[in-house]
Amino acid sequence: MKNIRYLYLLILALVIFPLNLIAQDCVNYHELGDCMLDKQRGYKVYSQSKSVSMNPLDTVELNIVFYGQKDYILSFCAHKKMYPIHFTLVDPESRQVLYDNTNDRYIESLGVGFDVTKSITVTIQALARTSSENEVEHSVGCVGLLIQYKNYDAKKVNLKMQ
Amino acid sequence: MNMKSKYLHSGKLLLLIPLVLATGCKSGCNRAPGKIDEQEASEIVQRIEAMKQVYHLCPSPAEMLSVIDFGDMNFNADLLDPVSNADRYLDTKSTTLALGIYATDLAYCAIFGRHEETLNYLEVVRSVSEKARLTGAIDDELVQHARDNVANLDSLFLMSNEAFINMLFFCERNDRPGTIVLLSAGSFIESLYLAVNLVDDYDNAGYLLQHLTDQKYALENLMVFAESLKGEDENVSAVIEDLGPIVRIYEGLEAGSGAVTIRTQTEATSEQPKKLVIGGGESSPPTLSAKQFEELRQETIRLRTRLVEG
Repeated sequence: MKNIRYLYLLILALVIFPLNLIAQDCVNYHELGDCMLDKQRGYKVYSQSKSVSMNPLDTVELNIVFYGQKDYILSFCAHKKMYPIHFTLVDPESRQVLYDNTNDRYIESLGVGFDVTKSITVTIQALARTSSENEVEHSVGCVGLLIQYKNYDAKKVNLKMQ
Repeated sequence: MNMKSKYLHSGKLLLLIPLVLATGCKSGCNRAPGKIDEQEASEIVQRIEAMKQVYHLCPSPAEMLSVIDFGDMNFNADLLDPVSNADRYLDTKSTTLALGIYATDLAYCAIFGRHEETLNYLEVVRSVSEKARLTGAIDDELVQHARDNVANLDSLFLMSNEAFINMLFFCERNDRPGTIVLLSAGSFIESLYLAVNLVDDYDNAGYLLQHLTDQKYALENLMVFAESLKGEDENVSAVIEDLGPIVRIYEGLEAGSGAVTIRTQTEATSEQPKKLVIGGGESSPPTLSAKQFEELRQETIRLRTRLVEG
């Protein structure tokens, strides 16, 4: 009898608070979601990988330090209703857009080699093209960015202090 | 334009609840009149549209140190904060900063493949993290895994990184951005301290100096993040003040041209992602003069000494 009461309360809670509004723990989504399908042998996971809870109307900006002489792989993942994911790489000093994945039909994975250390702003939007207008307004889901890195094969120190 | 946006985002969820409750029953519902009309809903949506979450992220201690080529260097235990100092740290600020310092020392031991020291520093990181109320961030499984793989150099590095990331995750889950600032500040200062002590001769320290110069990006991110919490957390405000002299040295750096070049190296295939290469072109990178290096060395040693004394 007690169990039936709990079940009733649970159903009532789900009716009142739609599932997508129950707080989600997105903190390590990039370690659990589709991003992990991109995990490459020989690469290490970068600590500046990040997951956030977002609505398709949101924009997320991640300011990330990329050390030079390293290859990175940036992999984006989200709940299936949130795709495609639009991302850009922006030079925060000049605001120059260095890359925009709209030019590559919203690819979700990009390799970037950094000859020199740079701070880069990664902007992320979940376009949610398969969601209805109502879903776009009301849904909140996890979006993750997994960053992997490895040193350049032959470490070429082409920077000298002057 | 900072971490505060994260909290605005939480506020947005609160705004969304009545909106969804109001629009969740489009027909057949007797909604109480006047609670929310279309215009209000539209305004809320517009406000939501303007929302932007901005994060400034910092590298882990292991990543900051791994940039340094330790190949020809000897392990120097005298540079580390002794594990016996752990009892000195009593208040939240000194304990959390010490946690960042110990996490960096752990990474230093791991990079050199020093088995015994790595396990000792992992234990001290665990005990200080408990003291800083990051309960369970370093769990038994991680410690046991480190013990079982102590002979594996790569595994030690990954374990030290995982320990730091777990602490960040813990802080995020428990809404403790101030703790992330203190932890990151402690690890930044210690990594700077180790690097400045590795420079014997300015004229022959090319790559190390470049690393020290590059740390301006990590410091900038840390400071923007910290500034967003200034006034909300007195420990963060105190750390901003502590870092002031170092920030001013970095602000005085000759900026370099700042030019960026970008080229496509490979197009995407089913086996590999598209690859770009970002470089500095023919431009000169920012530079740290001999005078600035000396100032940075002295300020770093002064601040770090004060922090380890608790």
